[in-house]
Amino acid sequence: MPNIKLQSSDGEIFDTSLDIALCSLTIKTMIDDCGIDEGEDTVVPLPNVNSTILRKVLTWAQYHKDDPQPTEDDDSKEKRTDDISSWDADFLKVDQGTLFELILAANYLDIKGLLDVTCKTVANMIKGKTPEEIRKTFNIKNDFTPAEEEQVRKENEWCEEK
Amino acid sequence: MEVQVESIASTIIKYNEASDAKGTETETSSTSPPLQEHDIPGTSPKDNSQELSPTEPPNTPPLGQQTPPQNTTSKSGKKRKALVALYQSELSPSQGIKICIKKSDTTSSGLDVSKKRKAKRSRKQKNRDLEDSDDSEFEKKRRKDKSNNNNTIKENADQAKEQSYWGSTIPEEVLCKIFSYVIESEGPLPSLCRFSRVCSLWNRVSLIQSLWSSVDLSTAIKEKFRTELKLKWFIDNRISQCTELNVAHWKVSDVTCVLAKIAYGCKNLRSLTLTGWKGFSSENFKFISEEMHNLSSLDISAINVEMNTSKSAIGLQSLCDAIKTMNGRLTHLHLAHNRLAGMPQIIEALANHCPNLVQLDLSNVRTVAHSHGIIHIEKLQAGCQKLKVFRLTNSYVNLSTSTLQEQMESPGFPDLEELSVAVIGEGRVINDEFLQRILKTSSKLKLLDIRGCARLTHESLIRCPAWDLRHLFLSGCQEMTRDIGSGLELIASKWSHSLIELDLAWANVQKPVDNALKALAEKGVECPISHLNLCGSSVSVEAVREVLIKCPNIKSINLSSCRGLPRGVKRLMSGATELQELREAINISDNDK
Repeated sequence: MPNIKLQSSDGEIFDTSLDIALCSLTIKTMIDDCGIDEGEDTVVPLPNVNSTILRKVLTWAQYHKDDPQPTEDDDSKEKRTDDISSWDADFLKVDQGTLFELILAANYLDIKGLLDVTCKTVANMIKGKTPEEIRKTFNIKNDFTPAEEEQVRKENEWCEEK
Repeated sequence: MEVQVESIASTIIKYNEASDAKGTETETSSTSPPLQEHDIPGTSPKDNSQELSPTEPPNTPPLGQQTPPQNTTSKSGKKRKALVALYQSELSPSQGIKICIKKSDTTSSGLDVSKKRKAKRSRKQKNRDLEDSDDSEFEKKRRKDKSNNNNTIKENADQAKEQSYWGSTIPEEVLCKIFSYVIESEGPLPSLCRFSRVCSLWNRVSLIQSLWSSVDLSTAIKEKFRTELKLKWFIDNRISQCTELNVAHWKVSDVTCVLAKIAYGCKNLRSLTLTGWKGFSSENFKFISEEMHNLSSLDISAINVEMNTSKSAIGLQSLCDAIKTMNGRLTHLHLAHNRLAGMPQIIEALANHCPNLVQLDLSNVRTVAHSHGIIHIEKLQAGCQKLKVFRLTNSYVNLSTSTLQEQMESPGFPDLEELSVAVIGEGRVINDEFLQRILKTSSKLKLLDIRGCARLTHESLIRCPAWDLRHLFLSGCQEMTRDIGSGLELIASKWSHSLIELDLAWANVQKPVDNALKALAEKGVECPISHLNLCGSSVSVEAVREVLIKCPNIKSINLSSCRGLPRGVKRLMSGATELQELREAINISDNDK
């Protein structure tokens, strides 16, 4: 497999194997569309991903490069949040900022597997929590006006809290 | 498992379909096995209390101790025994069924209706207005998002200073994906309600229609809000795209009007649960079978419990008509806890018109006369080859007589995965032939519940074609458990490579029980057994010790009322801590492993 050069937002160049880079559908589309020939010394710019995150993404892609390609059918499959592999779990033992940027990067680069596993991780963090606990966990500000808040509360007052 | 003494006549099994289930399409509305506990003839348990347990997935540490407080009837006031978490159907990831002994409408009895707030009449209109504006804002914002990502980020930063990126810059489709993972395991309620109160972005995302595709309104709604008005509000504001709807036990007075609203408001509906809708009439039945074009799964359990069958919706004629109308698209039919007439005709209609039937639940069915409860199993087998789940739990039914040739020619149920014929009280009807005729070709069977079938011998299990049975419930199978021969041992060793859950409660002859456990232990690390119910059995300390040492997957073991065991261990032991306690109590040291 030939190599390809990826440039992060802060200018760092990552010389990486093409098959790893291709797990990103965004990169794949770019290559297909721009008709970059193999072996040519082109640099693919990734203005939305910084070097720290890109390095992590590539580490993940390296480990998962032999995974079976996700197919359309996978969407209909049962979605579980407890099937995160231990490697992924370790990989995602990062601070919230990094986790968030990984999600954005996976979303931007269109890497389904990475997006799935990061979203599952967040899903596990919000499961069973009250709104106040969620706000605390993620440092989210309650941005409702008092009137809106009352409205939202009323709209949901029928809900049985278990 | 708890053994109960209660009047059989007052026993009902109540379905409580916990919402959350969203399996794949074909498997959506299957429910987990009905019977969880019941009388075992010939024993005299002292404890009259009844524990209800929603089924728990086998792989979670079973709950059970002293819970749940609701839906229990405790007559003795004695300390309740703990209950082992039971099988959760693999066909139906997260639905549970509760049994309750006592004829009452218990769904809501335990629900805590907290603080009384007066609902304002004007609210509905107001809500709608607000949402409309919300929606349009949402649309606008989305367009902006797409056109210029950076702009939005700045704008949001201005709007809500210090707002965490989780509440501002996270793309809505990503947040939606995160929500969908939560919903997948917990159902949309109450999670979405909680999320909607976090911040305005989360509120918008929580209203995305695709998140509301499978909704259980039977448990998550406070009692006082279960009104027709609220249901209509739901249909207009939340669930218009939903495919699965559970409105079990809502007390709806104008059934016709509400069903019309559902039919025209939720066009995509595939699965509908109307359990306990006493006012459901045959006209209503006709209406939904004709007007809900996508409906493939229907739960009409507990509709005419006592009423005159000929007039009710579940009458013979309306049932057969609906079956004919729905024909090929009917995949799941739940008729549990109804009084039925003309079972032979119903079975014939199913066999003739419903080749895609996957699930048939005829649990707790009573019939007007004995002759009405006859099932021609060979006909059903010929017509419904895809059947996966068949429940006859605690029903007064029998198989019809059939010629040897008919039996020979029948293709059986090759795809059957779950069969329950458990009975409360003396199960005299079900014999070896009965079981063999049903299971003839069912090599994929995963669950078999034959509790209380006192006449069944181990022969029928030895001959059972299932390769990898995972859940086996044998308590009250007197013929099997009292036999001093090697029957139980053979059964245990036949499936020692696949059994996850085994129920041998009240098996009161020591040697066979011990030998069965030893057969499991022999398989060692390859034995997947994780839940063992030995409640009230005559198991010996040695056998328990051997299983605990050799089977590493044990997650719970119920030793309540085991006479052969020392004091202090006679209870349900579940989870790592309690199992460790048990190990210490019966002197298993780490060296023994």
